Amino acid sequence: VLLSKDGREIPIDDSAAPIRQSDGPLFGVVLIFRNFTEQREAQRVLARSKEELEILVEARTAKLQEVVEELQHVSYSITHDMRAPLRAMNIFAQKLLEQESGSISAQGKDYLNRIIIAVGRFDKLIRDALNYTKAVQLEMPLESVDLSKLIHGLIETYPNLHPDKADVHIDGELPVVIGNESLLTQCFSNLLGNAVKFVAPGVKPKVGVTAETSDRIAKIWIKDNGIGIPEHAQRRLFKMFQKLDDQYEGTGIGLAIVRKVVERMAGKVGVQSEVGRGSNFWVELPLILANARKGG
Amino acid sequence: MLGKEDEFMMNITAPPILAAEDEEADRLILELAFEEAKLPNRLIIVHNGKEVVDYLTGRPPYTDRVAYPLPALLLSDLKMPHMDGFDILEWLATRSEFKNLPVVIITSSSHEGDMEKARQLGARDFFVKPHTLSEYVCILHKLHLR
Repeated sequence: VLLSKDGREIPIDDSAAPIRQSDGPLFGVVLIFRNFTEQREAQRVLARSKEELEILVEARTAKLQEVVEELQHVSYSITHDMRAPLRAMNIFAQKLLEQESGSISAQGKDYLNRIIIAVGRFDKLIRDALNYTKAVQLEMPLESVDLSKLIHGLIETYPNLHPDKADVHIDGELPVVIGNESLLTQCFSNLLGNAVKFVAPGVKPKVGVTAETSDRIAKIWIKDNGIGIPEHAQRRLFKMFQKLDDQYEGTGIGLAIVRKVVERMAGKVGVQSEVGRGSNFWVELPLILANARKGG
Repeated sequence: MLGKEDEFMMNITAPPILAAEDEEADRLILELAFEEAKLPNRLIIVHNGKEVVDYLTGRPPYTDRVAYPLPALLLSDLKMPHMDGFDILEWLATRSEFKNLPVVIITSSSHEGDMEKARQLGARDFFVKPHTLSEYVCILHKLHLR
């Protein structure tokens, strides 16, 4: 700091350099004082702005969090309250069909069955939408998950994957990956469900599950003998409400859920397919290395 | 058809099941499921948590313990006006005379948070309302076996 004649303190930036003749003795020094007032002021303003910005970001994050929580609550309540009247419609239509069967015409029974099917479809839509929000919001601790165990478990659990309905074959051992068990269950149950669903009429579904691993990534392939997907449709396949074929029941949410959960586990998903020649869906997931696996 | 005497015997051998349900359609569904389940207990349905408290404490119109005996089980919805399912559980926790009354929640909500909260407050079990009568009947049989 330099002190001016009138007593003002002036912040300075200084530097000094010696003056000497070539190889000779030192005979002077250059001292440079630069007025630093403006820079100091700029620094102060910058620090204050940073502080204000941090407060603002904090306040807006809290506000956003509040809005997100509110929306979660609303979407959750809507999906549950919407299911209640559907439950009543389904149960009463079924009761009518059973109890009054003798007095309802064939046409009347057909209408009732259509009501039951439509209600079922609406309910599935709500459940899938609920699953999607869960896939987005669910807290998901990452852990090591044995895919062989998980996929064998899925095949046992889902009747559509049982040997009398479909040939589902797991080729060799599948790796242990880093992921979240509940999200991976959602992911592979949707992919396997699709693989056995989209087959031509009269064809028994055949599904092969294989894995290839590099040093950090596992790539799981699910190959089916289904109807295949035209190239132009493959790009929009993983977006919400995309249905490619009206002949098959579905809500168009399943693959959007797959993409969302895989991305949340730092993975990728994709497909190779040709119309009439089946589809090859793949999922890439971070892999636990062999030595890490032994250790843990 | 049961004779008056049989009905009387049934009432003294099997205490009723008290259910709290505010939705008209869900009340009818519960009655239909009960009919199909053929349980020995009588089903008494009230509209909300406040009526559960009135029933259990014998306040009017439930003063007659012969007509309204203490239940073997309380089946309760969660979302109800006046006092909801959680309120009932909280109230029961303060009343030692009902500490042996099992409470089972049957609700539209499959929210893990609701399930967790209900269990913490003392609910014996938690069921999501099913979409077919046969599933309802299954739940009732399961509860009866216990």
